[in-house]
Amino acid sequence: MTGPAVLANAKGRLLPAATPLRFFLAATVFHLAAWGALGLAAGDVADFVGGPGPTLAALHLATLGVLSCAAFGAAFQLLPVATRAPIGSAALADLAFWLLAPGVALLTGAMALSSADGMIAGAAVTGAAFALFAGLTLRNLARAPSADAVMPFVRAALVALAGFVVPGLALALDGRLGFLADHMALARAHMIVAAFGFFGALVAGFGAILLPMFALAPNMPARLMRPLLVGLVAAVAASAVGVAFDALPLAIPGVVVGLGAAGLYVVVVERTLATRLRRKLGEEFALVRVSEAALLLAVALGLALVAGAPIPRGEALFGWLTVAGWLLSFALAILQRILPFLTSMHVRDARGRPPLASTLAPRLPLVIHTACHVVALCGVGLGVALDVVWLVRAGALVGACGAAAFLWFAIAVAAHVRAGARPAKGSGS
Amino acid sequence: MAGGWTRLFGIRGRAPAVAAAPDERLLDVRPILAVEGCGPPLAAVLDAARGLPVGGRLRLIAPFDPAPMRRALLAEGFQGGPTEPRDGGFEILFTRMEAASPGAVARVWRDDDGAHLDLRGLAAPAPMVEILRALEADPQPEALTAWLDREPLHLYPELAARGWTWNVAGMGDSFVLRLTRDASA
Repeated sequence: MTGPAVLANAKGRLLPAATPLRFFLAATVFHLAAWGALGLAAGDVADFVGGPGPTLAALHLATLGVLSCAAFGAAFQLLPVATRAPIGSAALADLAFWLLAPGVALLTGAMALSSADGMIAGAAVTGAAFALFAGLTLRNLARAPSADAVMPFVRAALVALAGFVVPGLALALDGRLGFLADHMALARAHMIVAAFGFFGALVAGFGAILLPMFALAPNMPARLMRPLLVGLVAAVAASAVGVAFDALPLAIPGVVVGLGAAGLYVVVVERTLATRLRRKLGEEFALVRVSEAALLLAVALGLALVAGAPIPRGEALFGWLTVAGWLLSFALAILQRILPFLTSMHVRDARGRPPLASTLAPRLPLVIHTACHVVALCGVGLGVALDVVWLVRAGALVGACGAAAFLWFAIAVAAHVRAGARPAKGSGS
Repeated sequence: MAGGWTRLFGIRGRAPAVAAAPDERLLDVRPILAVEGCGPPLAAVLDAARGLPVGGRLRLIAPFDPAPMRRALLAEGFQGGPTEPRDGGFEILFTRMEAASPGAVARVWRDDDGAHLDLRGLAAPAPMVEILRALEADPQPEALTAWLDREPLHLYPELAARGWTWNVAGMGDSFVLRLTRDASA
């Protein structure tokens, strides 16, 4: 088999650049919208414990908008690499996008306006996107010729997907039909399973490929990844069931195990990065470190809350640390790097060779974005902790500036694909 | 041979390896190299490395970036970190990695056409990282052949940036990636 023939074989496993790129660009737009919605909701954020309104909309713009779009795009790009099997249909992957992006827009718009019917419609469309994503992912895993360390994490994420999408639909329907005995308890369980089960498993699984790839480091050790997965699954199951049924004997051990799993995750990442080849890490790893710190703080705060510690505005702070501090920081770190990485595979320099990803990424917007993100995290976090509305609003404004800089970065990188899209070659000579 | 080195250092009143921690060893090969007629200290390095468990670390100090030792330790299942200046020489921290599955450690050998790396069975992104590590380990590499079970599309930009050209060909279920110095770079 010649080079080009081999390449055709390899390229056949990968989707066109436009498919993951579309998800990543949508994530950057939702990112800006999330900070904007947070600014509008500043007065309600510190006391938020659930219920429709701009705060719920901001939360779901971050989770379903930014995190899910990033997760879908990363999965469609990375799973063929990890499993050595194709995703299958680019058209179905594109359909997932055209369900997810409008579905999130509809759902969050309805949440902001407290429209029960709009939330039901938005949840149904978004749920269909997740069902399609699950189907495509399951088919890819079934076709995989060999096991990979990331696959158990993806399977765990798919179980968690069912565990938060179904309650999410029930919560939306309950706004109209009122059939749930304890709406808030189910909402809390829905949040735990979505954040720590679905997104948490994807952070650990895709991070096991992406972080070593970006830092040029050895793979994360399997002997530590297995207990990490077991700890994650046990912690999410016990704490979600414990919170849903107000069973403290189940919730407290669950969060303790979660704290151990979070600590193990940080140890695994840092040990891997310590043996990297790339000496100077970019801004994205500053965000990775921020996400690690926020994860540990969030789980520790969660433990204090389930143990009954009287922490004013503790639930809002827990949600902030979990969603914005940990998950959003990690997703943005990945997007900062994966966008130029993806682009570099689809463009050629003047000599017909693939350019280094870092040469496609304008640095100034990344520096602005990273600085604004950290300042906004601290500002809003302090605003919630101290119940100072102007601090929350100022933090959201800084976050929106960072999001605008990130949108500038994403458009600049994507423009390379439009300008220089040529089929990749199997020979660089 | 390795025992010879140990005896030599015993005679000279210095230990070749100092235990910095239970699973960490320090080996300064400069005194070995300073002894006339002793030859390269590869055996002493391997002797120090082979007793280490998974996760154990060997801190190696040499007067130069020791490419042959890097390759030998890679073949023993170690990952080397960046080369850092220390005391007028260089220090490299090697960590023994766990094999993910049988055959999941890179195998290295030298043929008439240069060095070969067998990276089949390694999970992504280890093949990409191992190839770059091998290129960095050798100060004057002219060619490298890597055996893979998937095409390393993410590797190409890194190769181009480092001044390498490549050709990929299929051989059964494997991909053979042939790397040569880019003469025009």
